[in-house]
Amino acid sequence: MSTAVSTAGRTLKPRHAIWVLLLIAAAIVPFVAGEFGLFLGASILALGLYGASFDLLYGYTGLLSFGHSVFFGVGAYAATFAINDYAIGAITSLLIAFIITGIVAIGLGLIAVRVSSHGFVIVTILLALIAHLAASSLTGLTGGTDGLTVLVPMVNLPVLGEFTLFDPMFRYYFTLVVLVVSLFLMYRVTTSPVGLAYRMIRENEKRARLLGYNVTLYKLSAFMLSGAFAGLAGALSMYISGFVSASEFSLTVSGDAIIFTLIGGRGTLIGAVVGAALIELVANQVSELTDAYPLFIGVLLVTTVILEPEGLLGLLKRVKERVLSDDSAEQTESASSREVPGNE
Amino acid sequence: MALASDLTIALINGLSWGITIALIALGLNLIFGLLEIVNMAHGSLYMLGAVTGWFVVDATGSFFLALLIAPIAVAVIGVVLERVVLRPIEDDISITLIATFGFLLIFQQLALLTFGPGTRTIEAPITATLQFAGLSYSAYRIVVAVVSVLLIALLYAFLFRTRMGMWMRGVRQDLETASALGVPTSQVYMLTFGLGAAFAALAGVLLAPIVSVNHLMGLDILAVAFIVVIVGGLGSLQGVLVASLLYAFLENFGAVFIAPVEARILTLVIMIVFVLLRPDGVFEEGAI
Repeated sequence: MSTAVSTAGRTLKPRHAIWVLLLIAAAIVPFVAGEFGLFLGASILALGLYGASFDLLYGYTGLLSFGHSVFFGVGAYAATFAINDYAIGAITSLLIAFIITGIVAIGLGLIAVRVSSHGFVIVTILLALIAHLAASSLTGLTGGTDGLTVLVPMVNLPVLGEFTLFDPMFRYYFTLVVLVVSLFLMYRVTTSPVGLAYRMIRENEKRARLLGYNVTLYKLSAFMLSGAFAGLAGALSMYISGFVSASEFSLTVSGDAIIFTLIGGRGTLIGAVVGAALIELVANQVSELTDAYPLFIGVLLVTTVILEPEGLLGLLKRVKERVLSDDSAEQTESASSREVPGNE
Repeated sequence: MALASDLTIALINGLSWGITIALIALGLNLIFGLLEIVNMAHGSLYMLGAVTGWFVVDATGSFFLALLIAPIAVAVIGVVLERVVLRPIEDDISITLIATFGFLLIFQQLALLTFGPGTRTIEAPITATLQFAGLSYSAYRIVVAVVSVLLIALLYAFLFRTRMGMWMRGVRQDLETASALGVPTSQVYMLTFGLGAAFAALAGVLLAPIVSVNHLMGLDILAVAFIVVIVGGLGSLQGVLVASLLYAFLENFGAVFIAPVEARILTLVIMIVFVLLRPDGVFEEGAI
């Protein structure tokens, strides 16, 4: 388990093994879960993507945005309009949601990134608030809080033929594929020189500036990418529920992204997916017993933040390091090149 | 003629609403200015003030007792929050922010559990209406505005005329020098958080007869408080006053011409544009 497996000159590290195990687990779910399990599972995958997109911004670049729901909502509505009004297929609609949300993110980023770091949080809260108010009052366009029903789009796949997102099994795998592709793309960004620049900005913005990096531009690019992937997640969630409403823009939805990322472990991408799964499963169980599950989540969030700010994955990593203390030196070295723990 | 009276009402509403917003936002900005904590739970402290006030009035029938007990109770909650939860993690701004967001969820849910999901009102201790120039206006609103002005004046007197106030400003300017000179920074922090919480709770009780009490009332006010803090300048108390009045005037005068929700959106957009033009607020950052 602990020894690195060598494959064609590249080493498969234990961390990769976790990814592979999670992927296998996700792929098996449909065979053990019922209809509701498939629905919940697909929702978790979409929300996991939402959390991971937030992690790109907060966990890697250090920008705590409380306005992530804006992108979730914009993506959901962009795809809805594409499907309902222009009869565009599911995959193209996803791409449209991705691009439009990215453009919106650039526009909002130009406002938010200019303000000082504490101001950034507050400005993003305000942006979410304006979006929520606007979407709630523009009932003609958005359907307000009553929302809009989405016509189920068809998915045309080359060779395989045509599928409908009505089918829970297909819908689950469709979401899984989009999540895996998105995670892979985000992972490539975080391991690229751009990703290193993000982390440098998170650790020490002043130094990055002094070294000649255009910090504002990097922040803006992180905001754009993170927003675009959040838009993708919003569109996916809408495919799953078949419904979209102004409440996608609410601060609660912004809070969800933060909760998923913090509980799972910031700065790891996959942590947010694990966090989303944990929170959704727990919320689903607890809400059957009591209406007070937000209380439970609030307590969980506060305890996590105080006791283990690096979340579940941070905890696992510490446990693993203690258990494998022999080769921990080599492991921490390799881990620190990709996943930077802690803060200044 | 109707427009003239609408505008007069908007002016009075703007003044009284603006000064009350300032009462809430000053506490938020005091906590930010001194402790560098963006307190997401500030709106919840306001809500807890109103809810506690409702329970006190329900049990004793005395509004004045509510005005006394609610701020003290909420200040105690604030101090405990600062000491037990925020103190150990206060070095990381984003982590304290997330922790206070957790408390926003917790307080909201606790209020829902004890108070129920409905909306209730505390009866105003003053029910008279004032008549002037053919207009009638609730006397209680005027009283609330006057009390708010007095409270803000008291806060200023405290900050600029007392030793503790001087310590607070000293800690704000230079923590290390202040503590080297023997300022008990730990107590200063506690007091600041307690004071901010008490102001929010006072506003909650004062406004309860006007806005009606429910477990979600903190969210709206949090947003308003945040925007005036950022427009006024993080850490600047004068800025908060100016921005609160600006916000209330924009919203109330806007509502004369367009629907209230649209007026609110427009106000927020104008405030955002303002932030773009002056990212550091009306006055420069940190002018306590």
